[in-house]
Amino acid sequence: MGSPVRSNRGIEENTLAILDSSGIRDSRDIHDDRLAFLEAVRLVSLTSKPSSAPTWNMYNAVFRIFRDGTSLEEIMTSYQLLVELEKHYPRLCLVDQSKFESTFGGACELVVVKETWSPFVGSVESAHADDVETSRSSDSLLDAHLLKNLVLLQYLVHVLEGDFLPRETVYKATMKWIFLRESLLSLILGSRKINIRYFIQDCMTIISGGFVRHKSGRFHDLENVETFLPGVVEEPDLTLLYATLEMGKKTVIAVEKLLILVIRLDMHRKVADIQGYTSRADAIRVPLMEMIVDQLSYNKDVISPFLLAFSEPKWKLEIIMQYFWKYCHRAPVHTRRSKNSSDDATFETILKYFSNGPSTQTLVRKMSSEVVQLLLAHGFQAYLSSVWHNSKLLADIEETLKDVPLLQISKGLICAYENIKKNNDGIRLSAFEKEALFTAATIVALDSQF
Amino acid sequence: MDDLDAPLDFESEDALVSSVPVANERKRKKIIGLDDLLSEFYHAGNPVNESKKSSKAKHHDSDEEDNTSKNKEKLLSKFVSECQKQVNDILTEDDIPLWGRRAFGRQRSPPPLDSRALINCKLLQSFTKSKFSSILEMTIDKGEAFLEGLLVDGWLLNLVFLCGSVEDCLASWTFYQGTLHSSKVDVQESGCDFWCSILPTEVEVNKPTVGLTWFPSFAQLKDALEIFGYSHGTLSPSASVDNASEICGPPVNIRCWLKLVATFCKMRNPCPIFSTSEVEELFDIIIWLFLDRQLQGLSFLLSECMLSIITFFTDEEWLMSSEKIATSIASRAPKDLNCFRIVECISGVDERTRGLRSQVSWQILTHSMGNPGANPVGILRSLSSVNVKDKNCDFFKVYIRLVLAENWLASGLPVEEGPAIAEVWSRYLRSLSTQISNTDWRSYAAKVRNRASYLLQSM
Repeated sequence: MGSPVRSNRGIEENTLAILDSSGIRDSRDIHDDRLAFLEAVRLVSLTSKPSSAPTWNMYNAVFRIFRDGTSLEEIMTSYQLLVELEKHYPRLCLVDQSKFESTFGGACELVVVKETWSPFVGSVESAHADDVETSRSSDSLLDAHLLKNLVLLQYLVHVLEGDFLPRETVYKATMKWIFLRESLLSLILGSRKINIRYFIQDCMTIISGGFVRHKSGRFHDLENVETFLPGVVEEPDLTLLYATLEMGKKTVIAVEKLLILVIRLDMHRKVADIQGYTSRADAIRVPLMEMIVDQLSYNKDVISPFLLAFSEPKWKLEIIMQYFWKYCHRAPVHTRRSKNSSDDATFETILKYFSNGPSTQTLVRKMSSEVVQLLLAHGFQAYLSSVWHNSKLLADIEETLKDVPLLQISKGLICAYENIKKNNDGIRLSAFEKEALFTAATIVALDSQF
Repeated sequence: MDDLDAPLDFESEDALVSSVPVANERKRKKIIGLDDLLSEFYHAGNPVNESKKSSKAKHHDSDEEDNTSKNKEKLLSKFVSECQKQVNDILTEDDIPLWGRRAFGRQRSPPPLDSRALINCKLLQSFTKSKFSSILEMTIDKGEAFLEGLLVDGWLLNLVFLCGSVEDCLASWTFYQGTLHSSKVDVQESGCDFWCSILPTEVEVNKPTVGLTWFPSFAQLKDALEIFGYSHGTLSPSASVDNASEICGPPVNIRCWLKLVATFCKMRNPCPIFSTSEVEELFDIIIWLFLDRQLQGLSFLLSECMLSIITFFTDEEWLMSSEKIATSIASRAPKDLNCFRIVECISGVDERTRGLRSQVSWQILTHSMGNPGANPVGILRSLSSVNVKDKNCDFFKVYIRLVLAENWLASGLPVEEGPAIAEVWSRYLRSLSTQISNTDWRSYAAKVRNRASYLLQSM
């Protein structure tokens, strides 16, 4: 049957013909054909043996269905197909050289498969299709524009991550900055088309606001789930409700992941700057961590929901510490250029500022008691979680409690709250702060039992 | 000499000159701005046209004239809508319903859980006994509400890691009240996250990171699903809802149920919670959930759950179980578009799902022909025996069988009879694609022809 390239073209023509709309009677036929096409791509590229990667035109058609899909089924099916294709035919892969040559000592090589499609490379056409699509949403089977965008966002983060992680691995092994400079994430952040500040603001709103708020209700009361989808959920339409809840949560997770990727990129960038690997080709950008801390200090209402929803303990702790350092002037030498500025500053150091009345009072005056209490509680939780994250070997209690800093920190936290309370009569604790104190007290109590 | 403004050879090496072309481009744009003019004209043209129209409309100032034209308009629009209705009726006459089976009927109320044991749990007691409770002026009178707060805000997980074990009463409380039967979405999600974190998820680490002595059993998970209203495919497809206000569908906790099942199936060692036959049953349930249109938005979650169920089995078990699963699905599968949905929800991305997909298609195919256990060539021969030129030929049936056969053969032909099957199959496809005429407007005739020629082309 000729060369593989030719037979691929045959497959392309053949599958794309399914989408041919001549002789189509109604929207149901279009819907059926789209699903049949997606299924055909799955069969050709994933299920059948031997399988071959879809061509760019096929990819574009799948992506177009994903973007223009008029029913939940089309969106979900195309999304799943794209994710599975990405896994099967990655654009980037790591080749472990140590398997072939032991002399390199575990060095990996990055292989970029340039022919592989990516939503960031070949989709000008579908971007155009999107403009057309928004104007004719009235005849769609399902008005779920927001839902579609949520899923799209997840997919794009998925692609960015798939591009970034292997590059990061190679960068760590080789310390060649170019691997990270050429990552999609770095290119996008360096693009002038995006206003990073607004972008980060949006990300933070997504994380802290979520899309769906819920009231408590009785067991049967599904109407009590309030959604932020004006016009979409009028009646308790369960299909949309399940989808929105699930996608809302997944999107929050995806956006958090995106922020962490950017923070990691910034961190590597800092090191590369110091070592002199970066050049003027690298666009100058305010590190994300600084932007987040700024946002939190401008808008104090966001602090609590953002920190509650941001679950990764390591970077959460880092955000909280940086917030404190803005106000603690006696911070250890902390310049933008020094690499270890935050490494030697631990949560313990922060707590020391609150170990006596006067210095506590100064900080409370600067930061307001609500913010101080909130940050201390969240910092404590992030510290605890990062302890568990780092050491999964918690055979027995005694072993854990021998960890002196843990006990010290718990006592420090309780002491800090007492100091804050002493100087500020009538101050109230939020439920979260109470729970923090409960946890600290339990640690102390457990220790005294042994 | 095609472009005078382009930098000369040596200029391209000079970084300073590289900014020049940009300026030139801008200049050039100003000179040639014909396109701009045109687009501007079109842009500005619209309002002019509109104002002309509106001024024309203003001329109809006599009321009479206005009324007659309005009446005409009404009549016409009525006529058009009637026509459209008739056309629609004609078109939808032979419409095959979309896939979909209700998996859930009425919800039941969950059994009450005794929460008295909760207040006496060690976790809360150790605090109440300590000197801090008085210093912090905190009292824990509402044990359950306080625990709920600890759960949602993520402290409970920290405390449990700290203690190194989960007390039984806490484990069952987080499972029932927290995850499966709480009406608050944040409590559900936190409860679910809690369970997923204390159970080992990686395949290599087969030890729970914290001591757990209470595990839910399969029966308990199934009970929970029945409380959600799950009925094992016994509801009629068009089960009319008698009471409009009655909600038929699972509570949103179904998401957590699925996540829990996925996590439990991943921890096979050292103590599998489920037996293989129970996991086979779980697979069956997942298929029925896939058929519920209300759960479409959860299809990603359902797929994840299915994959983790499939990985539960060892290789030897899988040989037996996959066959059992396929037969059990086929014996109950509806013989309509639902059977496509069943086949398509098996992702086919790895060896096991690929095989299962083929097996399920084969089983449904043979069951639908009332001939389970027949040999492949025989089945294909009896497929070919259908006369598509017959006026009473049921093309919908032909189409379903064709697609099922396609899926059955997609992951490779059976080794023994491979060539024979390939021959009968291609002859069958050729006859379908040539014998059905282009002008056959019967329902699904075109679909059968197109599908057959598609398959023939890609062979």
